[in-house]
Amino acid sequence: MSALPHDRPVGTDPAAGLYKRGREPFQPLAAVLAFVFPGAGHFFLGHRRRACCIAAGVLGLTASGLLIGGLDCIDRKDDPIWFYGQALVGPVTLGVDALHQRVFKAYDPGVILARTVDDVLVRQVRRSPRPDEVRTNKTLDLRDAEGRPVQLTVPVFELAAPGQKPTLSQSLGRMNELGTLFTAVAGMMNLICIVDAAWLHPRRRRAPA
Amino acid sequence: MNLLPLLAGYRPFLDPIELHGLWWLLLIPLALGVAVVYKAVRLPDDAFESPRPPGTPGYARSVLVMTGQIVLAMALLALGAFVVVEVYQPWLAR
Repeated sequence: MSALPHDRPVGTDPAAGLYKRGREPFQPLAAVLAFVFPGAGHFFLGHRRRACCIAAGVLGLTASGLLIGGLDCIDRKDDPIWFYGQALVGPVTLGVDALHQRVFKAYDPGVILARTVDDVLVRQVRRSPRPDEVRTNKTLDLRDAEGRPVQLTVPVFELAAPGQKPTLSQSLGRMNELGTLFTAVAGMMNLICIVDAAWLHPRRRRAPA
Repeated sequence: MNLLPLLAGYRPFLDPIELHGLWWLLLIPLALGVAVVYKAVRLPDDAFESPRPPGTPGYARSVLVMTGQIVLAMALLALGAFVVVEVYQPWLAR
């Protein structure tokens, strides 16, 4: 295998075919790429098979966590501390959280009693659905800060019809714990990969046959 | 075990899976995922070459070995915790 661009054989021992570790160069672009997409940093540095394995592992853990506990596992508002670990996977997790907050969460049915825009957007908080709730859109007649009439369409939960499933099932108990754990472990493993890509050094090579 | 009631109406990613009684089995894919990423970072370049130099452990084998090590270690830790909580602590309290 030909030497990679970043290989720096300092004090090479030809008899053993070993590279002594020199000062590893800091590669910020590789670190940024490793955060943007798991494995991209190593791919950029020429380690394509490693990159594929890293991507498979990190994304596999993330997907497994979401399958086990559902999208409910990634929630920056309800579980912020776990989210800090999950966010290390990169924009994939951030996108899942944005989807969860925007598409699946909604306001409590009591929001229809709001009178002003602030009553809804400032004083109300979106939440996850209960087992008997579905998400629907309602148009509210409100007033803005100057007292002018405003129509605002907001997502609201309402009782599901018999046999109708909720928009998103909130995971509870062990499945929620394990789903959160899988995604957080994926983030921590990606952190190892980011650090490795940032200070990548040539691994020990065996003497040629 | 009849899986049909569990699968009926199941929506991937929207519904959690129903494995509350067998949650401990999920240790295996967790250990596998950790091993896949860890070995991808730590193995020498030889392990990813094709063909591999003789005597070099392959990536797949290293991952499987590490997965087994993690599962075994966690099982032993669980056993140790069980002994402390269910045997030693009641004995101390007597």
